[in-house]
Amino acid sequence: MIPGRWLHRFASFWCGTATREQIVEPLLSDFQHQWIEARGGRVMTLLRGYLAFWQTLALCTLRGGWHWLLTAPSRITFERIFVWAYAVGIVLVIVFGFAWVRTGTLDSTAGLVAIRKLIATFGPGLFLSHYWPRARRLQTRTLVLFGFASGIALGYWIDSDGHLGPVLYNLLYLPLVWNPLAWAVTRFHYRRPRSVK
Amino acid sequence: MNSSLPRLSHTEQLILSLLSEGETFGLDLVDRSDGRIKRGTVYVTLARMQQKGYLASRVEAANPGAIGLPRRLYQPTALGLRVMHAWALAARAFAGQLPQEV
Repeated sequence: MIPGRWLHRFASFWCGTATREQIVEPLLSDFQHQWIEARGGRVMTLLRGYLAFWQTLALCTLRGGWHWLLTAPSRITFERIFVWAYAVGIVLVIVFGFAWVRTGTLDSTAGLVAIRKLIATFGPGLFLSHYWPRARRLQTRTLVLFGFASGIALGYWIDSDGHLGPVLYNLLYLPLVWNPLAWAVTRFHYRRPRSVK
Repeated sequence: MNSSLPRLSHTEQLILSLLSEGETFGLDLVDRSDGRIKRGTVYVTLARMQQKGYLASRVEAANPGAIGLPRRLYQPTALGLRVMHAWALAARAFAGQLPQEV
């Protein structure tokens, strides 16, 4: 069976039409022709082909993500990207954390504390910055503030070594990091209203 | 009209120079570049050059009974060749091989 069929199916799901036609399909067609023409050393041909595919796909994903970030229609979209990146970060930490614990690279207690600290440190602040702009009614705003306070309290309880670390970070990072960043993006990038297709 | 010289990276220059010898596909460019063009990035570069209008491409006609995807063949456009020659002239002028007008 000719290689690259599964990669082609994956690329059809993952990439846009232009990327698939202009970048992925030429790569796969060259890979398949090279594999057909290879008399010996087909394993190396396969490895090189697969490596090139994943390198190219990673590059396309980075370029696509950056382009999407630059052309995002509003600050809300920017916030959504940030929150999603945070969620993906947590998932990655959990996945790699378990892998490290299993291989003995990381002590299991230290790994769990690291994950809980990560959630306690960034979670409440992100929750507030994500939901506060959307909350219009007084009840909703109260609920958001209550959620934020609960998150901080939970962070205080979770971090047994330095109680005040997550609390201070949550209180400081909003005015010192998130708000200036959001202001800068709004001021310099989303200055003009963009048309949404 | 914008008279500034369009940008052309070293890799793009090399690709145009290889393609000026004849229409070919991406992997052949990698093989002929002595390692200067990488297989993991060549297709992204080729797609970008097409967007800039430096290259044109077509999908190879599939032979009956052929297996696999048809190859995409690339060739330089007139604009691509003009930009390449302009950059070559600029490089030679910078190196002092051409008389400079005062």
